[in-house]
Amino acid sequence: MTTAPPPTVSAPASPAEQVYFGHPEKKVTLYFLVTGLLMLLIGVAIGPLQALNYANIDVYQYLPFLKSYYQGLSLHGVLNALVFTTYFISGLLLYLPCRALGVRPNLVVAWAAYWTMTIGVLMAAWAVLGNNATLLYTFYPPLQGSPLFYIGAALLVVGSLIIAVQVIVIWTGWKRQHPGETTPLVAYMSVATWMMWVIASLGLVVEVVVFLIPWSLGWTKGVDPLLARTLFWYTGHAIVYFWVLPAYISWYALLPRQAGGVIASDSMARLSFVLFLLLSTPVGLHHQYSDTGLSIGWKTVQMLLTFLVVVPSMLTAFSVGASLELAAQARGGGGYFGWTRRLPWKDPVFTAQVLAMISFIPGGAGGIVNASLALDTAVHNTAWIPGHFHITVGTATTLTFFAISFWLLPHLTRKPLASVKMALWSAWLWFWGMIIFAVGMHWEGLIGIPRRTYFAGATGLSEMISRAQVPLALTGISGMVLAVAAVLYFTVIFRTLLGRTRVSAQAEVPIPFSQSLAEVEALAGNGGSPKIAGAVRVLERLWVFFALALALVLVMYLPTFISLLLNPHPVPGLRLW
Amino acid sequence: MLDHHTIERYELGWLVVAVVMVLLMFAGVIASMITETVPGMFGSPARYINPTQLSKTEFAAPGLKVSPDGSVNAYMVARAFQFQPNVLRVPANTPVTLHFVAADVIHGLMLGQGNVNAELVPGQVATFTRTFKSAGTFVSQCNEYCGSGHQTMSFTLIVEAPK
Repeated sequence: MTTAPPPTVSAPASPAEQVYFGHPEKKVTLYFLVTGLLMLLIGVAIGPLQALNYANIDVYQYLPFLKSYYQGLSLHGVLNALVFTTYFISGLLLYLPCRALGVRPNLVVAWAAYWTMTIGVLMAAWAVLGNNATLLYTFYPPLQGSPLFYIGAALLVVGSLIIAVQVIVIWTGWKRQHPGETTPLVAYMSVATWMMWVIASLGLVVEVVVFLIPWSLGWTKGVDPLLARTLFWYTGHAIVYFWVLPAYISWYALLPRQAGGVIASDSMARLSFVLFLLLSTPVGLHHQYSDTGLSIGWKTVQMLLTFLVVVPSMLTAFSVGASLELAAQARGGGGYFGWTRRLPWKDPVFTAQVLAMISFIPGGAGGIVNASLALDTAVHNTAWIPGHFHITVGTATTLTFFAISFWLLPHLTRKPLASVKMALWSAWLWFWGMIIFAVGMHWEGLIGIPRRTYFAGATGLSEMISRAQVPLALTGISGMVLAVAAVLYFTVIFRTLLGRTRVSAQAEVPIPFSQSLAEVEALAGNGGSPKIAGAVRVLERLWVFFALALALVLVMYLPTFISLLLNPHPVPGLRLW
Repeated sequence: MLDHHTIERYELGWLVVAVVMVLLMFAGVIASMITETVPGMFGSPARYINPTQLSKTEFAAPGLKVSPDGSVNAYMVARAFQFQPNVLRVPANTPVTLHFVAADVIHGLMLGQGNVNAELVPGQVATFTRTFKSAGTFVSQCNEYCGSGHQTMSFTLIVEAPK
């Protein structure tokens, strides 16, 4: 197959650059996505070792390049949860809103963000690989790692904030040039997500820049571990919405077209993103129910707000479900459940996302347990918690990102997906692997098995292990299933990226921006609803909701931070690994 | 096929269902806090002692102490990589107040009995008053990563039936 040069303009000299011609931002997007996936590859490769640990099979003793189970776990958590997600989201939520608005981003700024992140990640990786930051991905002081780790983590966040500011600036410029127009849905959701991240990342930035970096360099003698934990979880809970909202964008605004239908409700989609902007951050104290030294009053108030985040998630479930039913009806489906058979299950882009959503149902339900003061004591710091986040960020987010990579990488490179069948298999195996994993881990948690424990040397677990044989075996087995899923997934991805064939510009995979049902009806002459249009006009003022979100965070956190800062209890750092 | 007005009406209904469900869950947790169906949810009052000067506090000699008035207190210090004491014997059917403090880095402990799960931040004292009804031996383990010996940090609670 030959590449057709774009008509009327002269083609650039290099054939590789031809692919990005017209949209040079494709290249930086591709770099963000592929770097993120490479980080995931390393992080995921360590996963099965963690799973085998639960099955009481110690592989670490045979690995010369990893000093301990905890070093492996630090790499696994940092690379998968922090690095992979940040790269992938920065690429995705730069590219999609710019294309939706028809604006080209400033490429110098975008590349600066990419290199800031990459230098940061290399610094942090150097520290972790040298066993100088075996802190796990929560890096609670007084455990003290190499300054390189903290500086690297800060640069990773700074890189993402550069993209955040760039997208918000592009959107405000677009608003000025298009007065009275409604922001396209994908751009609207992306801007809301970035605004949320700007507020949410403040905790981590302050923790690392103000406290941990000077302390790790020896400039300050101590850090207050309770203050550091509170700053960490201020960001640490909101970050899960930073991970999951890009998946929601795909489910709400791209999946309907991929399924052959339309968006059931555009205005409700906007409402749920405004609710996420308001409610994602002022809820972090629910990770600290077991911390004495924090007021029970604020814990209770933040519990209510955490429960309220259930509302936009329920809206998403409804709306996306309705979109899928509409798509199935358009394909001739009907009945209460019979319509599900008419959906394009042979398409890995579709199937991976639906499996991701299904995993998010038990994931969200488990989250309500964690958020409840009454029930959290039974599961806090047990295997239940990693069980929970492997079916939320590990499946809902990750499997959706797999789906996105199945169409977006071919879109960006014009190289067709190497194997549809293998892509489908990887999605199903990832889904079932994670479900088996989650069943095992939740079950172990209820027995009382702690998370983050090197089983081979554990002294206090034998009685609990004897009661947890079945779930521990499930965790071990799930690691093997996931290893196969990962091999298949990365085979498809690398075969696609390294493929030689490129399709013509005309045959490029389109960006599946979906139409809304209201738009389709308006085009058919049924008219739009003035009431709904009014709601969309109110929701359009994202700056107002940004200000409200900031105010709500101040109310929910300022008293706690003031009392922590007025009674500082700094302690020196220790290296205990 | 449904038009978008109908779908949005259903979805508003669903929104109301979600809000009501959330409020009911919140009310349920508040009720269990007030009635103490789940013990100790109001937590222990915040108290801080300097972790480098435990020798000047009641944690100087960790272990079980019975006061002249009959009240039973137990003092435990968590430090890398052991609990002091790491075996605690308490009488059954007697209110016991457990006090935990971490001396160096963050540790954690969950007891299989009595709904105790504490994040032990250095110097922040965690206090729980519980009456252990069933006699037996309950082994648990530090549940917050504290370094390379984290997995060797176990704690045994022995509840003894009255003789």
